Amino acid sequence: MYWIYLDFPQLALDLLQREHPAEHALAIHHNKQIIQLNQVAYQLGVYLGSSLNTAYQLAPQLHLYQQADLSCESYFDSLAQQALQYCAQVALHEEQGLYISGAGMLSIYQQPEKHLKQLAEHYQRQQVSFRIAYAETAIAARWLVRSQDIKHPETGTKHLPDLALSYSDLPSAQVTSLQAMGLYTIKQLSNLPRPELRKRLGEESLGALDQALGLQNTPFTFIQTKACYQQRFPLLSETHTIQGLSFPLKQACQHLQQWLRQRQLSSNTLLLTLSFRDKPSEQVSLKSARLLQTSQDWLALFRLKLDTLRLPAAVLEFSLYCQALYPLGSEVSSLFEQQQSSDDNLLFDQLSVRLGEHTISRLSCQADYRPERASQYLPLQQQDTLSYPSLFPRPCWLLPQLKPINIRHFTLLSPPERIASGWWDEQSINRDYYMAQCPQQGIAWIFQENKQWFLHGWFA
Amino acid sequence: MSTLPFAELNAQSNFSFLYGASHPEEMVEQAERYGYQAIAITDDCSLSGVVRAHQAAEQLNINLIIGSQFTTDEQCQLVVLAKNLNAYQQLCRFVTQARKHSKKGSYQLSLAQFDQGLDQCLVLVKANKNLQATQLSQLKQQLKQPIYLLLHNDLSQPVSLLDNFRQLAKQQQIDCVASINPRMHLANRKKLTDILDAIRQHSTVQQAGFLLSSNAERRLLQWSHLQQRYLAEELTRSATLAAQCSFSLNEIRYQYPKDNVPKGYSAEQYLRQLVEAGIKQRFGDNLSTELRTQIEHELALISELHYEHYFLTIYDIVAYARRQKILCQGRGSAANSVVCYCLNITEVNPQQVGLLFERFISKERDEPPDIDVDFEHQRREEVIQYIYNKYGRDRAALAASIVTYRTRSAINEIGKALAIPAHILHGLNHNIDWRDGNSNTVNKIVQAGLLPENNARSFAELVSQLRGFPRHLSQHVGGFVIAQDKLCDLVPIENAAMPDRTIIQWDKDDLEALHLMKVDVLALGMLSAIRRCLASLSQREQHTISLSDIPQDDKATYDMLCQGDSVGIFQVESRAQMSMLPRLKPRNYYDLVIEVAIVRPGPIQGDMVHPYLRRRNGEETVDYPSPEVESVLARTLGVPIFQEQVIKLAMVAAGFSGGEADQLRRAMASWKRNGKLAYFKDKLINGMQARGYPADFAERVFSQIQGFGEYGFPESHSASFALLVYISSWLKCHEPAAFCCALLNSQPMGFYSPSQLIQDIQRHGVTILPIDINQSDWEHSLDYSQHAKGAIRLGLKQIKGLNKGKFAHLLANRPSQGFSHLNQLTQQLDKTSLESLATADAFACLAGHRHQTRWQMSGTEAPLPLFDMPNEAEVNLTAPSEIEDIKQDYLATRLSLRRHPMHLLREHQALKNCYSQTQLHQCKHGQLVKVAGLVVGRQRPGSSADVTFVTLEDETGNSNVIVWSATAKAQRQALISSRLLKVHGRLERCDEVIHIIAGKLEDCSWLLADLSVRSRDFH
Repeated sequence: MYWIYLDFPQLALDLLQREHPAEHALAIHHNKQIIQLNQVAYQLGVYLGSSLNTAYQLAPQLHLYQQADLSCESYFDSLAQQALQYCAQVALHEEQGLYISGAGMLSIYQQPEKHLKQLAEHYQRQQVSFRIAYAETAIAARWLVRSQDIKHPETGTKHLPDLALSYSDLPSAQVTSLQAMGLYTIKQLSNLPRPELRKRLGEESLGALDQALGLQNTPFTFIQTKACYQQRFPLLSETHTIQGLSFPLKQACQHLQQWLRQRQLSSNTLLLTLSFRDKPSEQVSLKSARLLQTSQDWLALFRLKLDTLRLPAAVLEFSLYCQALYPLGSEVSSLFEQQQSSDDNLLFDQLSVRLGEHTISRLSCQADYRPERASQYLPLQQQDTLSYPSLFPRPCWLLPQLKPINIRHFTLLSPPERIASGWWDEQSINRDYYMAQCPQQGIAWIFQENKQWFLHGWFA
Repeated sequence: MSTLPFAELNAQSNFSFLYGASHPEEMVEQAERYGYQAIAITDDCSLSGVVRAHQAAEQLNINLIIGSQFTTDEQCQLVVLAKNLNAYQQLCRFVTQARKHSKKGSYQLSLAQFDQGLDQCLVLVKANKNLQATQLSQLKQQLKQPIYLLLHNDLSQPVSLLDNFRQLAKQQQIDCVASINPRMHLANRKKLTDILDAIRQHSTVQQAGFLLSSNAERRLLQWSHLQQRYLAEELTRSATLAAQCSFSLNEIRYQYPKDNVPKGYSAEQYLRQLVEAGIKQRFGDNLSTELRTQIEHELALISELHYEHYFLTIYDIVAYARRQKILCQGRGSAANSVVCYCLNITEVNPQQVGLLFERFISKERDEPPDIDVDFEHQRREEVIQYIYNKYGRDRAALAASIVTYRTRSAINEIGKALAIPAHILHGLNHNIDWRDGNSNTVNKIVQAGLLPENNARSFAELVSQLRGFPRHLSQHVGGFVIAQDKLCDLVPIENAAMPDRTIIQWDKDDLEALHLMKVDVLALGMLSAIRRCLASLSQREQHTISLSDIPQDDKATYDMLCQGDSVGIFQVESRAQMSMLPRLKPRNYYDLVIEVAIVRPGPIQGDMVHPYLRRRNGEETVDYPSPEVESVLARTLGVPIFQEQVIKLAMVAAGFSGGEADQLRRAMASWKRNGKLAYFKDKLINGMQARGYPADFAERVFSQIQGFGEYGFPESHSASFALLVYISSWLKCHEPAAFCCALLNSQPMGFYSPSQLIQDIQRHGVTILPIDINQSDWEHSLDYSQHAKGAIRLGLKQIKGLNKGKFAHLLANRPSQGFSHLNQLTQQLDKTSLESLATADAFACLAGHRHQTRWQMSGTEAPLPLFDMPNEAEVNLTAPSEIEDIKQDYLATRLSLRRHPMHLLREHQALKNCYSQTQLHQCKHGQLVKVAGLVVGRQRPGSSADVTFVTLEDETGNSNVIVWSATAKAQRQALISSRLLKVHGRLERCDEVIHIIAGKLEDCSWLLADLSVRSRDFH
């Protein structure tokens, strides 16, 4: 039995490097200390643990990021999922590390080294920096990995007894205390009488040591392959028409409904893949404004979508794939929020299926005094809670383009509302808005800027 | 300009922190330009900005109204204005009351509190959206006087809303008053208001949206605009109300505390009596006619300016300190007088220095007297508490210190508000040299190339505007304001961040402007050290030894100083001072006065140091451009060194009046923040040239004035400090062990760490004994038993993590022969203390090496009442190597008495042929040398922007390395990162001062890591 430990100590930096040219010096800091840096920064003299001031003095063009601003959790999750291709049991460590169990793997890899090599080759292909080691216990493997320098992994300690205590997970104050007694390695520690050691280390640290030495088991929660619905539906006979697909699709939607019900799940996206004779397969994506579960709902959307679809060849089979899964009842709104009726939702679903989801937007307020920017289109699902603070009336109809006017043809009906804002994005305005009556008796919204008058909208 | 029938009654300056976007004086000046009848500065529950506004209003033809704005818990906003002196006092008390029970910077107030104590004030209610009719009627009932509704129209709300408020006022039978409620004086501050709003809301201008103002109308407006927005009666009513407010800050009748005059005496009589007693004590019956004349002259001037109570107050504080045996020393403009010498406020004998009283108290300049008193830093709190107890918290409070935005903080805050990436802000802060103040901000930011040019200009303008804006009030380091009556009748008092500390809302400049007395109660570490040293000498000699027992003009002391041997000596221990001592070669007290003042940015930037040294060494003729200049500069050989000299020079050589000279002095103190000095530049240079002085000399004098800046060092301070320089030098020279022991016990203080002080004293032949549980006290102590010169026994306080309280009982009950077994200690001390003692090797006398004792101590458990503790299995740990011992010494005590790490590394191939510090003395000027050492100092002083000074420590001493900017730039990494540095360079020797001019720098820190590995530490 063996364990492999693999960690990604500079995952955030690896992702940043993909966005920057190779010649950029990059570093990430936490609490104003450098915690990750790339080779360019290193060559300029920046070092781990240096203060930001020192780092900038050494590399004035340094591109510096704060750790808290960078998120690579989802990427780490996907890296962890990839590990499942090479073993059955993978557990996560919070420092972006993976415990990989070798249980039963010798029959595949014969030697731990080969297993380790396979994993290393895989992650090299992903172009991420990692450290990897194996040992008889999971904790020992982790501690050995901690002794490796990311740039020179070969310098790491190979055997647990030789490992410096500073690489263990013992609290640093405890390590300092042990060093003050001349105790530096695991071997020195494990040679001491246990009752005396327990007294000095406490149960927790002794437990960690015992787990590393294999004297105690380490409990793990292993990750699972992420849940998704994926099902092939071969047709009994190939079909050239949409109508021919109706019944099989109905059965498929019932199958999906059953699968979702069993798991108390719902979804708002579904991917239909059609496989044709002598033609590449095609994908049809469904997206709903609400979470769906029942076969009727799915089928209704399919009918709308398939109405406009032309089959290039005979369909041999199709598959359904659904990954965005949500627990049933996720769509809980506030008691007092204005609820959209189910008819509205149905309409939105039908429109987005017919016209494409990107074509349906919701008009909402935007926190900007400039009339051109006071409203915006938001995706249908996004909520809008903002209201405009001004008590001045606003016209219902804004012209798409400002229209220069001759003020002599208008009669001013109100004192001015002055808006001077937006200097920060070079779309600065400095206008006096008025309600005014036009010669045709219409009520217009006009403004003056730089002594020029413009028509901006109509009230009536 | 004719006056308009309008007064702005609700202007908010930048003392409404992070809201107002103009200085109070800018508001006043702009209001005057527009012809307003008056302007009221009404900051948020604060009168902090009113003195600046008052000073501006005094110079202009405009009335200033003092007031404040309040927001109650009910979100009702009110403005309170002071109509007369009584009203002002009510307002001060009201602000104090509102802030009394709130933490620093905040206040709490409900509408119900507006019920009394404001009957002399004018109360106006702001018409905002939260205002309710019931609130107006409640206020009317409570205040029993007319209230007014302040209407503001900034074109962001419809007129119908204003009409609603007018209707409400009519219903409540209240008159409406027009107000713009400005937060900026000009529209061009709109960007800054948006930035301030974003900072206040922890947002960015891009995201702040409706939290920003929709336009720039909250500014002072011209009459034509006002007429368009308000009814005529609302405008004229503002002027009518303003006319009711006649109060001016000039009416404040500050009175010195009179507590210190016994019954039956006048202040003048009592002061004279004390001075006469002092004359007897100081001069016996040998008072010269000349000194008698001087004393009479000083007393007459004090009497004429009514400063008796001021001197008596200082005398009382100093007398208290002396009764408590707290060492103290006065300094400052009035301290170096014969009167202060006789009152024991200072020990500087005026005969020795020949200082003229008028130089410090001037009728012409009309400044309040200034005496700072330094107390032992470890006992100053006793003096502060004495002042609070004697005068009460309602009569004494600390002055405020107004913390303002500096360039870097302005860059950071504006940058965040504009969502500029952090690395660009860091670049702007650190890649640009900001040490020369606020000049060329725009060019510097544009040239840095970190922002597109347009953005850079806009950004730089915002930085220039925000710089100097107040951020919050802090407490002054020790400036007490004491009043005869309640202080909160003069100025509001609020809570400081420290518990039990209160501050007034004015800073030292405000106090000075209004002629309020401030007594600076300051802390000085050297006084603690001197008192401790004298106490230990008294104990040794079995009789009291005081400062007066220290002989004057001791040759050996000056010989020591001339060699630059000054580690630990007050004021002259810095590297720059150490280099100056062998050049200036001080031989008497006044030389020390100059020595203290000459190594300062003022004389250095004014290029006055070398001319002075040349003249002193007879290499340059001493001449004076005119007899007037000679009268000012004669005592410094024609070269201006002191702050007073350049101010006096401005008067005699450039024709400044007394008042202008005073303005110059104030501008000097804050020119980096507000750039006001530029105004005086032309006046000074043109004035001097017009009187026949060379342009070059005038330019240098101006540079010197700039250099004095915030580090201004007047002769009066230098004279007091020089006395402590001499005393500490004498003690170091003749009682090195006692002096060093006192320094160690007074830490933290001075330039050097305990480790550096100990290395220096060891080189002077004093033995240092290690920490020992059977020999050491809590503090470091002197041991004369086996060492005639005295040895220093390190005290337990040097060990990290020990608590003094836990050791009092243990040390008091230590057996006379010492502890004989560790068990005696384990029963009395906690595990952490025992482990710390073991790590520091304090048990070496009892139980062998530190590894073993640490193991034993870490196994200590609290004894169980009924059970014996089981015996532990024996564990034999290996003894530490020398390197392990050194490392543990540093970890436990930050110093080691064992060999220096450089001693251990000296033989390493990498350090071959490197000279030690001692060996450098045998090298010739210009010789190429290699030196190596631990980097203990890296300094890039503002006065020498092109150079970095590096101090390397080895087993024989400290070497000074000079790295020029080109070398530094090319070898940045080694310069910045090295802990152990090897330098290939050229030796320069001048008057026994040795420097290495660095050529190649080599980072040898890896040798230390190598040592660590050898200590069996694997990381």
